[in-house]
Amino acid sequence: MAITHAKNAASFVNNEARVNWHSAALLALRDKRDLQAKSVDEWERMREAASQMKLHVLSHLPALLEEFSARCESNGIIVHWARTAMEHNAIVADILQQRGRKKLVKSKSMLTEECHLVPYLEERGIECIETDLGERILQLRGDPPSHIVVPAIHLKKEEIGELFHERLGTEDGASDPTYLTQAARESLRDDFLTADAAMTGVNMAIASEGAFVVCTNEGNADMGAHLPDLHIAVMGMEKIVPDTASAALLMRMLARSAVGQPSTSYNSIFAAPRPGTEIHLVIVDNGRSRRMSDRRHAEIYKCIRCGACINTCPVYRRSGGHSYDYFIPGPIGLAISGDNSEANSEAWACTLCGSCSAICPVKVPLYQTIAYHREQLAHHKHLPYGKNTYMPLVGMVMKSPRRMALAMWLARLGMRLSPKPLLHRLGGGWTKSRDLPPPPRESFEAWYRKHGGVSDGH
Amino acid sequence: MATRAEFFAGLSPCAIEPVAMPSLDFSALDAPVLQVFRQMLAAVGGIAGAGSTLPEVDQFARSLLDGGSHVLSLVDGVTGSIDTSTVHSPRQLAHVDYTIAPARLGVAENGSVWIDGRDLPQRSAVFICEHLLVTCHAASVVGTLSDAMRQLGSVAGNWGAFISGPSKTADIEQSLVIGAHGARSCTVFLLAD
Repeated sequence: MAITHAKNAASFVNNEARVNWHSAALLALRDKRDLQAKSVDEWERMREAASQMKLHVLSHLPALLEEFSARCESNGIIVHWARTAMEHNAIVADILQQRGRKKLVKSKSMLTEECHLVPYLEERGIECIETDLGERILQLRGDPPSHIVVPAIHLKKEEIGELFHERLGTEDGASDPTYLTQAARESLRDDFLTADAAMTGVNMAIASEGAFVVCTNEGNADMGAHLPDLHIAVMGMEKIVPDTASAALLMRMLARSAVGQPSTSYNSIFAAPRPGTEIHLVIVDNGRSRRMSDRRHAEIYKCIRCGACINTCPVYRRSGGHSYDYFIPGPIGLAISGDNSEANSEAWACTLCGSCSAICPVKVPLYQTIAYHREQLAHHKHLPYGKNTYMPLVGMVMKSPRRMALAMWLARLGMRLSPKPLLHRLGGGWTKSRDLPPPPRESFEAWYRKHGGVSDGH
Repeated sequence: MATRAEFFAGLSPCAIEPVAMPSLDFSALDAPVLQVFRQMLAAVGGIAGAGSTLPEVDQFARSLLDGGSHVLSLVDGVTGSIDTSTVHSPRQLAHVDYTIAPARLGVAENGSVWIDGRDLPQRSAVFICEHLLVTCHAASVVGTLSDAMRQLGSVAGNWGAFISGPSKTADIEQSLVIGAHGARSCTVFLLAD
């Protein structure tokens, strides 16, 4: 049987100190984001403009893709088209194999996670080195990322120290972040200098210029792309923006929203290969077009992958990135894939509090899309947690004030009379680590009347 | 593998009704740009160079050379130890301690500078060095990134980067560490002329 989000979260949730630490680290990012947003006078106007601009892009995508690819080609960038993840992987492998390349340095790309590119290439004898520090840590550990911007946020520095001691020969017991980062820098510098191919993602693809922008703080994308004579960049087709003004707008919002910096350290704009070298660009659909044909699902592709919604999500902060089925966790992951999770439980890993939608820099209707997935799953009777059985009953009771009053009276009575172990069994997940509160003596309605409350018509 | 025609034929129509492009004219910065630039440069971990003339930058470069450093100077009038006409491969620059590069623009709101590929013998020059020194004319500092992009105009056929402070990471427990893969420091000399 497929495992629900609640079951998946259990091992993370059991360590309360760690949950609190994880939650605080993410809230700190949210706080820094707020300070940056407040420091820009026109922030809300920028959000609205960015949203409209991305809606413009999505509603004119084929024409913009035509323009973009034609200009890339006139800039000497070789464009490839992939309808599926498999086509994407095959294109990348072909480019590398045709040129006999064996060692690829990679900067972070959610698309390559989506397509499972690295295992595909490694099966074909091509060594792939993740060069973003967080991704490198996870690659050495054999862990998947738990966040799209800070992928190793679930790990403590002591765990990373231990890993580096084993794999990079750092001192036993050393866990100072500066020391560990330095060790990774030295080890990866060798990889940069010996790699014969580089891969980057794309943050924005500028249609009017045939250019693409790659943003990093570490400088790893640039260290990769400018050394070997082969650079492969990969992008989901929604990364298009019409012009440089649009790219500037998103660059102004991306790092502010993601980690509360005014900019990433490096915003590198590629609009031609260096003389004597090649840039290949793979443009991928892989289900995007199908999702965009459903109006209530389509706006998720405004997303610029800043991760702000993940940082602010109360469920993500306290359940951890590995509790989700989809490789992108948190609100944006649920909004993309909530209709398609194994146990159909993902759309309920959300309190519908709305914090995500309120801070999204491009106004993706995140919780609204998650609620839409619930609606669809209910419509097809694919509800998790036994909801198919009891929700129709709950609905029947709640529809009638008399039945509701009777049910509440029975509940109060039952809670008073039942022994604790029975209540715990009836309480489901709620009573796993806490007791039910003592039941009130009377209903709220009775209390309200007794204290002189008057409702309409009485 | 799909051809371009197959790719386009495979696209379902997008359900979003056509939306017009919004205006992307945003206001200018509401403060003196140089003052904001200096503040933001410090905030992103950059260093304000001591000196506002080329002879002063040159003097600084010479002091680095006296200390035995490998210096790649790409700024006319500033001394270096590497003849750029001999640089044919990006890996040749792996031992560079200091790169001194000209910026064509500065951006106040994020303390970044625009490095244009046409000013470099290799694009790697500003990433592979241990330390990056940049000269930027004070008069070419603009308020926002939107202003900067407007000023740059077309980037087609070119490469360039906005660099905002040194290379950094916070991937280990959110602790900020300067010097991840790129330069460990980024010093900007604002030139007065």
